[in-house]
Amino acid sequence: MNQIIIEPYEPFDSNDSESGRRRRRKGFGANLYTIRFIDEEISETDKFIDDYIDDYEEDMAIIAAKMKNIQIRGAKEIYFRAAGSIMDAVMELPEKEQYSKLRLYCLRWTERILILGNGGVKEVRTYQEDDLLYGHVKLLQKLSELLQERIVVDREIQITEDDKLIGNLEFEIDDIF
Amino acid sequence: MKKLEKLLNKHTETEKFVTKSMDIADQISQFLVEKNWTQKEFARRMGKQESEISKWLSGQHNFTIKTITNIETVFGKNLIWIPQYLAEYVSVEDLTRILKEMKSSKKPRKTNHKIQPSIIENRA
Repeated sequence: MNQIIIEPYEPFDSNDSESGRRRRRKGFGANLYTIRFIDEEISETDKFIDDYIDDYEEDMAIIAAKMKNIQIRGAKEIYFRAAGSIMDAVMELPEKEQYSKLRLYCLRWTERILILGNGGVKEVRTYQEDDLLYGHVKLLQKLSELLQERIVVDREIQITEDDKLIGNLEFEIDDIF
Repeated sequence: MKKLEKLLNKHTETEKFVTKSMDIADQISQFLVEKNWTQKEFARRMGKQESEISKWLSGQHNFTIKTITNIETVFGKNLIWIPQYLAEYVSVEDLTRILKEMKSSKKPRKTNHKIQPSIIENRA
């Protein structure tokens, strides 16, 4: 059994452009979250960054630029590629382009709430063919299920007017393998 | 400085490219809403596969001028304005009014983009 927590994620310094701040104030932008295993210090997204930033610098820059834009524009569905099943909100960033093999998996909860997970290099046609990628997607799929239950059924988590998640954000998830 | 911030400071061109590509994707998306077309319908009119349209809208596609021209033809509207010829697209009065409208916009959730009002049709 694994214990994980959803936490707010701020991958950039706050000194972004004035126009970006204005758009965020007006409510266009998305709030970013990440997930962390409770017994670990570093989040899954930070692990992804640490693992690939040196060897896949250009690809990581594309993902970073998209993240930054999503914080300003919102997590519009068009920016992502569905990675899980129709039953969950697991998405892949970026959309498939030949020049980039690096993938970050995330839960696009709404246009204003994006939960970033972990990722890796996709050398295979589907993530199911790669244990590492499969593990990252499966974890988000399970979290998607539990989050849905906690928001809709149990009401242990609420979404505030400014699209923030509040309430019990700690989850127990079975081992993936 | 945070790692990704540092990375983008080093790759300013990549950040500008992604931002520009997302600008174009947002504009196409807005045109689709205005026309009430699905991505499938748009793909049919463009003579492309739907998967190709998904790539265009992903916010990292490197559009060619030919593709942009074809998109503009299908929508009957300009996707990109060239500053030097802005006066040919829209009068100073209309532009002032548009900017005022954008600044006073209070309902972003309903109207994400206001820069393409109906008065701005294709120059042709």
